[in-house]
Amino acid sequence: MTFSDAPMSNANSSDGSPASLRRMASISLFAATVLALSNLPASELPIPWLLAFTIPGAIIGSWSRLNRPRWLRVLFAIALQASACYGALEWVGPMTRPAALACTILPPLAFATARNHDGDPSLALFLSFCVMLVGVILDGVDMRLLIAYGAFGFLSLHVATLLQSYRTSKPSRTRTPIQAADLMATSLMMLSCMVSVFAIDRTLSCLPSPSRGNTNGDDSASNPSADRQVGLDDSFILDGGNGILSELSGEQLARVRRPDQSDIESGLYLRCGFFTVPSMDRWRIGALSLGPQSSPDGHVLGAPWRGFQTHELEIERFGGAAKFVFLPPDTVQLAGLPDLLIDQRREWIRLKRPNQANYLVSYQKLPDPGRRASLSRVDIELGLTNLPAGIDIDRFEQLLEEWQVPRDPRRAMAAIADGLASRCRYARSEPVGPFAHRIENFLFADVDRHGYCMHFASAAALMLRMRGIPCRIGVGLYGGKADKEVPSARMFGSQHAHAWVEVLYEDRIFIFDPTPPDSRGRATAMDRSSGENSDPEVEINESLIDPFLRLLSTLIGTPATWAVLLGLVILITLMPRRQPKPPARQRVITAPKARRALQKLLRALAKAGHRRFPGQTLELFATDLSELERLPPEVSTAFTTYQEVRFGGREFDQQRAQHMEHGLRAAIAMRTND
Amino acid sequence: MATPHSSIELTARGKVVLWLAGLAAGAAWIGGDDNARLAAAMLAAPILIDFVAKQRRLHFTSVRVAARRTVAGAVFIETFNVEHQGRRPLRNCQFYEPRSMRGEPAVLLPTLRPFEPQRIELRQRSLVRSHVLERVFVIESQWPLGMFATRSVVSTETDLITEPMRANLRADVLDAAADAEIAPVDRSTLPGPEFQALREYLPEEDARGVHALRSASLGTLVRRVTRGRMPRTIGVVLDLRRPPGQPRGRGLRRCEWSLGACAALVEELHRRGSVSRVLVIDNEPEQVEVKGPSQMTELMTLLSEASLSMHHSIGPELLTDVESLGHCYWIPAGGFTRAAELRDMPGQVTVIMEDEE
Repeated sequence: MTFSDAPMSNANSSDGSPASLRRMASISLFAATVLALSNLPASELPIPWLLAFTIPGAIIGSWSRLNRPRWLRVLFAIALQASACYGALEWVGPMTRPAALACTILPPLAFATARNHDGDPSLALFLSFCVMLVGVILDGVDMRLLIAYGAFGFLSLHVATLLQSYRTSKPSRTRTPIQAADLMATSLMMLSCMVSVFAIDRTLSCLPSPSRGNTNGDDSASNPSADRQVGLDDSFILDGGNGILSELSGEQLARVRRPDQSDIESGLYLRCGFFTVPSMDRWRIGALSLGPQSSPDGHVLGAPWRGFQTHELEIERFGGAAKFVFLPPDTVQLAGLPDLLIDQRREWIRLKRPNQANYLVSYQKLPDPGRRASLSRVDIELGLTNLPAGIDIDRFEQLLEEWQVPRDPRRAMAAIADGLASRCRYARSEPVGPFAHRIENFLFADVDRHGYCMHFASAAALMLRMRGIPCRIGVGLYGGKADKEVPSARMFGSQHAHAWVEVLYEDRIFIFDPTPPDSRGRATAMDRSSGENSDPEVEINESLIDPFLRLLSTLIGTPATWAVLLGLVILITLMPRRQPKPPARQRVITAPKARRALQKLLRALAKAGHRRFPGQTLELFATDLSELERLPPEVSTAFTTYQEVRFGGREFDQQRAQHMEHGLRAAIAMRTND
Repeated sequence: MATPHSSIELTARGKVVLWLAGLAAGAAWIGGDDNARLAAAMLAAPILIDFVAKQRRLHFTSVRVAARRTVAGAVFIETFNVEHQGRRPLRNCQFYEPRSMRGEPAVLLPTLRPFEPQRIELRQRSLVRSHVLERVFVIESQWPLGMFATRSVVSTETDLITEPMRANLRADVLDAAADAEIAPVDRSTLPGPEFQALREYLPEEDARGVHALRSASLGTLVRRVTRGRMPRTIGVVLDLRRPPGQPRGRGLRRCEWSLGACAALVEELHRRGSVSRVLVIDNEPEQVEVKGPSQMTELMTLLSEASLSMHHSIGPELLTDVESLGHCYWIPAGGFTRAAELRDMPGQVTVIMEDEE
């Protein structure tokens, strides 16, 4: 049923708008407001405070429909709001400053939503949008809430537009029947709005922001010695989104083989990035000191250890991996890649411009650090033992004491790995629990403490740092699968994305992986779309449509696609169109064949001496002929047949054609007989 | 004929949202902030969708309406056939005629599906005496999200004759011509027309004069012939000339009143059974002998198009037909009361002026 076509009834308001439309406006506006409010973080804005700032406004908004003196309403509002705030303060204490700022919007939002008069929906929608944004800023994006809010918000906007047209006009007395096409148009428009939000967001992300770090490193290339703070895109968010490889879902990323065709170990780590600056919800890459590469098409990262064999890997990259440089642990040398951005000490290497050139890596398989191996003092001084602000140290310490984690790095790593394995479960879903941060839910939730490699690595890194061990989080690929096309090669896909801890010793970087061994390199929550292919050891049987799906996935993930799509849509919209031709109208059946047959008959009768007068009907003509006894039954039948076709709408079929033919012959016979 | 076209413009809501979206997009660009980008996208999305889904081909709409005669200021209900000839249905459109709907709200059209005519009724009032050959309508829509408003002008060729607003004439003025009548012996004391005879009905005549019973018994239409206390033919001279030296732009109100008086006088004379021989003196003088509805329509069309003319002299032969009548009304619509022709008119002449009324 369409709102605009609902029949006029007693339920219609004074402006003629249907009751169903007004009901829909109220419901959609209320839903949008509730969704915006529910996006506010409960940790920042406790429920009592939320109610204290919304209930009075809603009551006053509803009360405004009553005919009461204004001063009485003002007094009542002040008293109600003050008592509600006092109650919330007594109940849960003061709230945080950002939440207090957000709360200034809530009373007018509740008021406008509850009153819902002429201009209120627009105001309420705007305020709820502001509240939604505050929630996003304070607590990040909850995609489901955002989508639901968008749907109801756009619906409310649409219905408000329809209601406005009712207010400013007089409904027509003519009503079209209810048709599903109108509802379909409304639904399609809602869907288009949601898609266009995504498209515009992707398009805007194409714009080169002056304050966003250039991940290709063009700026750094011009100033290689400058410390570089990489932007949000290179952060390691513990809620499963925006990881360094998060945009590469469902893709094949790299093929690795040895030049001598020997087998590659199945537990190979390939690092493409790391994060050093922690916070409770995300890790950031931290400062970098970029320098030039040692040779034009490669770089020497360090001298090989004596007594250990040097191995080589040839790495071939595909698709979205073209912007990364994957390195195994204890890499000595890199060859075949020009235009590199390099932080020598931190072993950070990135390409200035994405390219898919193959490159050769020399590395050593070094043993685990011995007891005498000393930790990197420089990295300790550079803050690689720093802890995030807001960390509940007591809880962590309690856990470390429970697990008996010593200060010795090797034993500490073993104790933490054992503790995590016994306390937490690997699952490809976000940790849930009563705490504000996911890492706390991962470690301290009462039941079902679960998470994936990001949470294992993050928890282990924090605990190591609490024991004074400098470490960081490394990200990249792990394991891979045997390649079907190239023998002895291993193929790494996005399902092999992994995170681990890197402990920084004086002379090397040691990989400590706290994730349970059988769960390493499995897709994280952000790769859920890859489904059953997320297990690294499962061979991928590609069907014919898989390449197309991968291409489609790549296109959808590319911002330029959306920018082009938006441009095309606008272009098509602006293109001039011709007015369509009207459909062929249903015409009155003229029965030309019957008319021709009648004309032949009349001509034959005229030749027989019986001419029909102008304007004389067939009935009168037949009567005249009958009076003259010159009306053969065939002619009479022919006249009747013509009348049936001409005025009765009957078909001029073969039988009727024969009747006309017989009549014609009879008329010719009349002349012959004469 | 007005060329059908459509225009699109931002509404107040659209302007606000566009500004906010622009600011958010600017912030997202300068600051590189994801939240600002999301805000910009959520604000820009309804603008984009509204622009894309906007019904911007409103002018693919045809309006059919019959010719109409009305009196200035009188309310009438007009029936239109509106048909959309585009590809997509038109939803939530407002329809009005600016000329005849001042102060009246537009009508909200039902959904117009392609090539499915809809019949709608509008309450209208034409305030200005005129004769328009095409009627211009406006279709507006803010569907679906109210960020943009499309407005289209469509026109249709049809007559809208707005006759002058009728003026109230004093009874003695109306009865002035009756004094010239030779009273029949059996005249009634009643003022109105009286039955005289029956005669054959002619197609162009008012059907209200048909004698129903007699027509039924005879099998053919016959009408009543009445005879009142008025002379059979009465002259009416509508002088639209300004006095010598009077500038343009003056005397318009008097002109309108005079035209209304002329219309009211002729109607009343016709109602009483008299024939009016109306001479309109302007740049191109015209004479109409009002015997029935068709001549009445012709005269009213003439009056709806009439305007004041500069002073000029007229030939004596122009008034010959009027001078032969026993009684004549002279309406100086242009204010030229000292016309030599008026002074020299033979017979009884009644001058109708607003001041005297």
